[in-house]
Amino acid sequence: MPKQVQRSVSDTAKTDASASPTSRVALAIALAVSLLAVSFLLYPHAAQAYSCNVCHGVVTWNGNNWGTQSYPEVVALTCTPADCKPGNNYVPHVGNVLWVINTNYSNCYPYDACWVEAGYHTVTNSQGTSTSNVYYWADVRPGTNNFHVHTLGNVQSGDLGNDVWLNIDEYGNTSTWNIDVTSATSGYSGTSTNNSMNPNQIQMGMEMIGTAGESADTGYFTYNIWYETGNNSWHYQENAGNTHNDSPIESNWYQKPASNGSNYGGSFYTGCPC
Amino acid sequence: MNKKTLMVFSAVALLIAAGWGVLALTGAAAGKPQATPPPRPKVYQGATNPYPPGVPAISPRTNAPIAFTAADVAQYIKANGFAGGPVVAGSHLVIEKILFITSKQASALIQGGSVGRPDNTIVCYVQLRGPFIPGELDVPYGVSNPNATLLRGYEIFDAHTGNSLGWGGLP
Repeated sequence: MPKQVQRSVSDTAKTDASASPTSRVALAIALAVSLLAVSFLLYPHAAQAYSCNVCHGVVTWNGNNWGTQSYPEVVALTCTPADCKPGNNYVPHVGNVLWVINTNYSNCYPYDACWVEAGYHTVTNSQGTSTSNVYYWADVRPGTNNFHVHTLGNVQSGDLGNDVWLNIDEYGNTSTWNIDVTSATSGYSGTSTNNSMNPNQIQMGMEMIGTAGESADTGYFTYNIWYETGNNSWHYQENAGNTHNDSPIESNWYQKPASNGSNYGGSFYTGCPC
Repeated sequence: MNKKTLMVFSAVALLIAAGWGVLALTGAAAGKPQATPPPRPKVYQGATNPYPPGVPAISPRTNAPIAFTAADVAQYIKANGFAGGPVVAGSHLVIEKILFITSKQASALIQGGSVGRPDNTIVCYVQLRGPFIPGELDVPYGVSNPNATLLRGYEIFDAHTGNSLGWGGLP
């Protein structure tokens, strides 16, 4: 028996050795391909180095208006607390936002622009221990040399994957702007008072500050509308405006607005694999 | 490992690699849009709230209209800093005012800005001196001085719930 066992082991070894030219090549190919597969598996999740003093992935429309609205999708925005702790030079955050802007206006110090904005963004506490996704609106009004950020409420889990209606409009030339932020689970409104700006631009998309630990799922801005001055009549966006994208944000038209408004102002996406 | 096993293993590995290669090339795995946009669900159909709750901040002590004290506010600010951003390096945050006043009075202090509460509702107004780095303002593309610092800031809390209603800069 011992001999038989020995012979058997020996035979096995011999068999492997005799097959080595073919099997070694096959094994090498299999290992190489496996490594390739693993690298592809890891590729989408690999962290990229980025530097966003202020990064934007937006579309801009120039022209006088009395406001705008859109239905951006509510997606998960991530800002790892330790990476997004408010720093010495900036406060890391990421948000999806709609802006109505009066550009090149010297009465709006220090930005040379006044605006009303609404959307949702990340807020990290000063200790860098927790981050929330929060609905808000804000304004920079003429002559005030300051701005105001109005915190509306936390994004709820039931909002994710659904839309949030963002509306900013001045009904008539009243210096009063109405803001609506209506998600799947709640509806908020606000008023920007004593705001005599005359908007000449609309922007929508993503704004991000930070260098690490942020990401945003891809979301779509749809049903994109602007309000005409003088009579508040509304129109779907009928042109693609001007897009601007800073890496690592990924933004662009998924479907450009049709010239006759037939696709409801198109579909603009933002996201950041970061 | 015999030849058959090796061949099967190689074939599976090739298939996995090819699949991920296609995904990487199309960008689908990197967060780019899929072929069809997601469906458009309806938003909330109920009445909108003109007085949003804000987000939790100071813990109320009671159920009274003013449910916490100025000392609670000072402690909160000391622990959490200014909601709008940190002080510029080398500076120190100073609490200039803690006032329990009506929403209308608070609005006047922020140059007619909206507070998000009825005129007669008591809110807690806190005025702070920095200078600060205003981090939580989402500045649009193309404006001047997007990272301009603030000399002063303010925060407004719901005096009953302790929730933060907003913040901003002052001249």
